[in-house]
Amino acid sequence: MDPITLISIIKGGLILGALYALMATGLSLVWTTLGIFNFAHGAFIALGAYVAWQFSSADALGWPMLPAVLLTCAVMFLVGVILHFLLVKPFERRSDVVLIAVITTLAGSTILENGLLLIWGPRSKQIEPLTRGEVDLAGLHLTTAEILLLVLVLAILLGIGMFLRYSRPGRSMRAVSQNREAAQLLGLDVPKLYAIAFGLSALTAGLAGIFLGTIRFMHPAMGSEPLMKALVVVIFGGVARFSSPIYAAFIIGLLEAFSTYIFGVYWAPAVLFVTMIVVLLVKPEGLFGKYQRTL
Amino acid sequence: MADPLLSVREITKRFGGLTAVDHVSFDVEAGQIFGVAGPNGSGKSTLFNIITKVPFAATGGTVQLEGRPMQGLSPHGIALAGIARTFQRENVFSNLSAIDNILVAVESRSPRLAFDQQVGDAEAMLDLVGFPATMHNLSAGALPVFYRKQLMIASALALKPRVLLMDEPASSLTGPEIDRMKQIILSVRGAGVTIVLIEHVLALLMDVSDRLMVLDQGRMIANGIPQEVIADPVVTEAYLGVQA
Repeated sequence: MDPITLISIIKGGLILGALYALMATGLSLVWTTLGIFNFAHGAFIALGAYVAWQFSSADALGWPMLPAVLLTCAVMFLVGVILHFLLVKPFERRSDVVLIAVITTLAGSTILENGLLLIWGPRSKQIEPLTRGEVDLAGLHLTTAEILLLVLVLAILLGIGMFLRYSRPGRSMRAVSQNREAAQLLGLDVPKLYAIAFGLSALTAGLAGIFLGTIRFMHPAMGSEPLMKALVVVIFGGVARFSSPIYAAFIIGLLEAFSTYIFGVYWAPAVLFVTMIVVLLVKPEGLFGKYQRTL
Repeated sequence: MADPLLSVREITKRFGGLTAVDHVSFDVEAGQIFGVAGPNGSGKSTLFNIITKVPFAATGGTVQLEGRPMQGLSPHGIALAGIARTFQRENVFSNLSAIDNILVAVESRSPRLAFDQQVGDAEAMLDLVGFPATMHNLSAGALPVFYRKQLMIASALALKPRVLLMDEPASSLTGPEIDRMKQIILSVRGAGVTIVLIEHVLALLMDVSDRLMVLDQGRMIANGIPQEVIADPVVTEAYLGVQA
């Protein structure tokens, strides 16, 4: 393998890793805080892409990208809060909430995806790239959109990390994720924090959808495959810390890029799942995990 | 007699056919340390659970704080209204630093306070329970048992409660640590917080309590001056299983 090919594969792996990190962060935020797995996360990814397309595309409202993205974030947060209220909150106090949430979020996912089909139709769409331009670095060809994607995703992840570590709601969410009862007794409004966590998770999914929509064609089920990858990332990395799925996402991204080059596109998912199974056998709590869920 | 600070009337908790707390009534006056004793399984911790609604509410009965009914409030609403609680086990946020543990409570009570003042309040609470200043930034999960108990008490105090429900603060502690815990309990009362204290270490309970209530099988079997209560044959029988 020549150095240029190697660097190209690493570049592809880092871009994939960045997207997976964004998706997995939202997924693990809900898992660590509410203790449930949100199967509607993939549909949130698709919804984010479609809403951003509606605001920004010349075929729709045609707004500039920045207000379109900001408004999409607001819409996604609101959708997350509303869907938490409808799909999860009624069952939160039940002992079998984990199982029920699988069904209700799967139902939510189906409704959302079919809603997208009804509203925007089956025709593929794509969001305009965030920037247009190309850079050649020592023989390596990069688009400015790829560079911007990497920088923005890392900035967003850093922002979420800072929010969780230093802000009041962030500290409260970390407290709730560690001990719901103690949090209630210290005056924290746990249902409100759950809704915020779900909203924030939907917002990150929406952002991932926007990035995905700029590099791939959009369709209502566009979030299904990323959801599976995000699931692999969360299981692979564990959720011991906020950063655990982020590290795992980049490992998975690079692994996918290399296995695609070596084994071909059809075998790459198999390599990922085999790796995940091996990690689970050797370290069941995940590569960076502990035997607990916490934020 | 002044109106009670905390008034519990006919409070009851049933789990199917089992009645864990059975029509228990008592009053706690401001500034008191109100002891609660009873054999294992007598319903002491369940009593605290149903007063705070964490993790479950009462089946029946009423709780009033300064005449204000608590039944309609959510668990966090009860905490902010002035009833705080500590647990037998050190219930802290293990992945948060000691100071962040306290800040969670300070921020929920005083969300609009400037951050510097919130940190000042949090440090004051840690000082009140004698928590070493050099350990403020250590992860709570890494602290020894006694320090985690101090942290838990300081977190509850950060809510500026009127009443603090303390569930077996001396459990798992050594003799010298129990003495230090006694000083903490007295300091908390000295700071103007009324205390309801569950404790199996009877020497500690008798030393600090102004009044003592004994539960057995969910029912209140005695309530009065600690020395009189402990000499009551009914109480002896509940503890030892024999007629005195």
